[in-house]
Amino acid sequence: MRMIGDFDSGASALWSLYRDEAKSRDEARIQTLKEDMDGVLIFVRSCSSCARNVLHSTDAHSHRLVYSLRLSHRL
Amino acid sequence: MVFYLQQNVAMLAQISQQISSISPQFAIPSSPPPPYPAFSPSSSNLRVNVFWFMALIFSLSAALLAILVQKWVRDYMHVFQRYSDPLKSARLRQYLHEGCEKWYMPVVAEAVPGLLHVSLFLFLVGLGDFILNINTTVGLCTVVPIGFIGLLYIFTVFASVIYPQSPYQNSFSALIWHLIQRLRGRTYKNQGPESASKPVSPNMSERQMQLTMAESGERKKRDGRAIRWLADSLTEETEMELFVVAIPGSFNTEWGLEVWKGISKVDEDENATANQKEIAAAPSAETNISTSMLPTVQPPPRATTVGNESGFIVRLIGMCTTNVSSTDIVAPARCTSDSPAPSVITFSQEENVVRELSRRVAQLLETCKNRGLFTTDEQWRRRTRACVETTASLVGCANAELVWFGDVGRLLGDIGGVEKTGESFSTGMDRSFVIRWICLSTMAIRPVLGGDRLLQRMAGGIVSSIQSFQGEQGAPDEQRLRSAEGIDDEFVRAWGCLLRLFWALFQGPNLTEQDMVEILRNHEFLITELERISVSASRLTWVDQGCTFLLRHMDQITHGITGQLPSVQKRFTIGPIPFSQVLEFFEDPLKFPIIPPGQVLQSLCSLAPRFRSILEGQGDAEETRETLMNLRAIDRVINLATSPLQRQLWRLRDLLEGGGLGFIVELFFRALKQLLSTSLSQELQSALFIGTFRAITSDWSLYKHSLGTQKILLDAVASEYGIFSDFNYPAYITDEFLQLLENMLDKQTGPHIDLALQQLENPPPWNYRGSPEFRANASNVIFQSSQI
Repeated sequence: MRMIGDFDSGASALWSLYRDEAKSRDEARIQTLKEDMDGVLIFVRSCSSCARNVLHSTDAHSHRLVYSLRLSHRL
Repeated sequence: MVFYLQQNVAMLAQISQQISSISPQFAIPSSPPPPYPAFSPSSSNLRVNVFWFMALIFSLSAALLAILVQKWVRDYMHVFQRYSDPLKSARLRQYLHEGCEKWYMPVVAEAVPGLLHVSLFLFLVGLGDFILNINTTVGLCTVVPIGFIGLLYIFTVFASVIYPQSPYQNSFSALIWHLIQRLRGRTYKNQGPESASKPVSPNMSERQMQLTMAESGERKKRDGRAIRWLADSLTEETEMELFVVAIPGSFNTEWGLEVWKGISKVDEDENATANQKEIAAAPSAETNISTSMLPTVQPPPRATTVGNESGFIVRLIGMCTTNVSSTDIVAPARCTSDSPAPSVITFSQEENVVRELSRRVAQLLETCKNRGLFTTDEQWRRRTRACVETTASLVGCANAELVWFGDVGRLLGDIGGVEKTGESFSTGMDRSFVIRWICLSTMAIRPVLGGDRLLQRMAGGIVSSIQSFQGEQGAPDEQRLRSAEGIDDEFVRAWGCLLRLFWALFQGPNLTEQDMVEILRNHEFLITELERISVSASRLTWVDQGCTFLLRHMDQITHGITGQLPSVQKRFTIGPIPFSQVLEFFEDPLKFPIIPPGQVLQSLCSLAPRFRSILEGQGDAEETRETLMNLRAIDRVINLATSPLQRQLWRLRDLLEGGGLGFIVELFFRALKQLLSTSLSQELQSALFIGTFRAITSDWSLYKHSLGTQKILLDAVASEYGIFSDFNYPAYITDEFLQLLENMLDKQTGPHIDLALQQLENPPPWNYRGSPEFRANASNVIFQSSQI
């Protein structure tokens, strides 16, 4: 049922034109946005794994590092 | 952990005391080691921790935001799939879109990578701080690269703020630009007439758009480079065809013309520098190869002339595409001698773009010549039309030369026949094609007419056979002129007879058979006179034949182009000429530059035997009616052409000695009269016409002393029935013409010049439609240039 005060089916050509235009434009814009977001996510993921590795090894390594430095000082 | 350590220490101390108390012989220092200092983090430790944890938080929040943004975006795009009704989805989209803008969704999305950058730098700073506290050497080795990267990042932030063209742009540059723009409000200017400065947009991508579209000389050069790049990068034949189809449209505006001029101008500059280089290199090379034998010696790298990165890229691409061909050409030069400097060869990669483009258009034209290659005629037509239009545009407006395109005459004739350029010009047809076709055709037939020996010999034959009509004494030139005058007199006489018959016969409203015979009897002397003229015209058979052959030959060598130019040159039907066609000639003599005079005269007199038979009571009613109708038609002719044969004589002499220069100029202006009424843009028209006119008259100095050419040009200006008298040509083209006239008449004298001056001093004839200034200018030019 058609509401009062609205376009009838004759205007659908115009609106489908609007939709197509808007769609192509939005899609282009959103494509870049998505790529950005993907990039961020990938970066964060790789960073976190990197950080985890560093943290795991930090204990042993830093102790060894600190110890060797102290030794060299005393010698 | 600290607690356990302290406990350990305490227990160890206790054990040591116990041991010392058990065995006192061992001297054990009684004092226990100093207690482990209480843990208090240094400021450096604090800093490092702050940095690192902040980095962690930032990167995690960036990740969170990224996931959220992805979700939002998915939801947003869902609009288009959810509803099939365009109105619903359109409304919803508009609603959501406005929401996005209002709630700064793009800013948020932009901020996510920014957060990540901040996080990374926090981590790096923390790392530097941490390691610097442990060891200075290692620390420095870490901090220096970190600092370097930081500087680089800051540079990228500001580079794109300061230089809009800079590709280094990140999340913060947009923010900073926005702030700056809010504070300072920078403006930019168009170079156009409405040069009000407008504020630059605070949005960076919009700013780039504004600056790229701003009207400026820089944009012109950039457009030119873009076209060059396009020309360089399109290599396939099908691509090339599309390109060629697209080229003519780009000449439509003044801007487009200037861009193309810019392209060809850069080429010329490069050629000039290349030539200088060539000359400089020639003596040092000490080879027996003349410089002209090294056609591949080309300008220095374009980067130096263009002077920026994009030029360099263009050059790189150009090198890739032209590599193969130029090395092919270089190879033989290398074989013939060992010494050409290698530097010369490395410079040979460059090609003149318009030249190169012309070469490829010529290749495409070559394929058009073989119609069998195309599956449909329509394809052939499309490609040929595109090639013709492009060639005309390039030659007319971009300083290309016609010879680069090879022999196009045949093709022009073919396509002209298909498109019927000569006929339906008035009915809505493709004007832009016809204009270009005509320009190109006049340019193409100019060298043909100038260089054809047989044509010249034929023209000479006609000129000398005219002489036999009425010349007995005097110099041959004089005899010919007098003969031509004699023939013209016959024309006038025949015309006069017909006119008097017309007046006599069509006085009353009704003409009965009886009246007519009566009137004819009274005017029998007119009929006799016509019969006499007819007899004398039969002496012109040789001239007639010569003219017919000449026209046929001209058709042949120009591949029928001369017959296809609109309303320029019609020829009479072979054999007896119908009376109506003769009238057409008298109405507009310029339509028929070369006529067989004897046949025309005989056709005029062809009414005489009919009247004679009526007079003798032998004519049937049908024939009588036709004869009277023919006679009545002479009323249509308002102004009788004066001295057509004398003009024809000059025209023939122009073909003979002047290489057809005057002839072509006449053709061109006749065609122009039709073309100027078209709706094409003014700039294109003027550029094209001036280009064409210059091309067809470029060799004027060769024909400077040709009397026929001079006479035709003077006649066009001064004579009552000259080309310029019946149409108001725009000033840009008449100026060109006057320039030619000035060149041609420089330091020339003669009765024809005096006559022209005299004609120009008289008030313009009643049918003069040109501008009064033109007459004054022409008179001035002729007077000035003929002064010695």
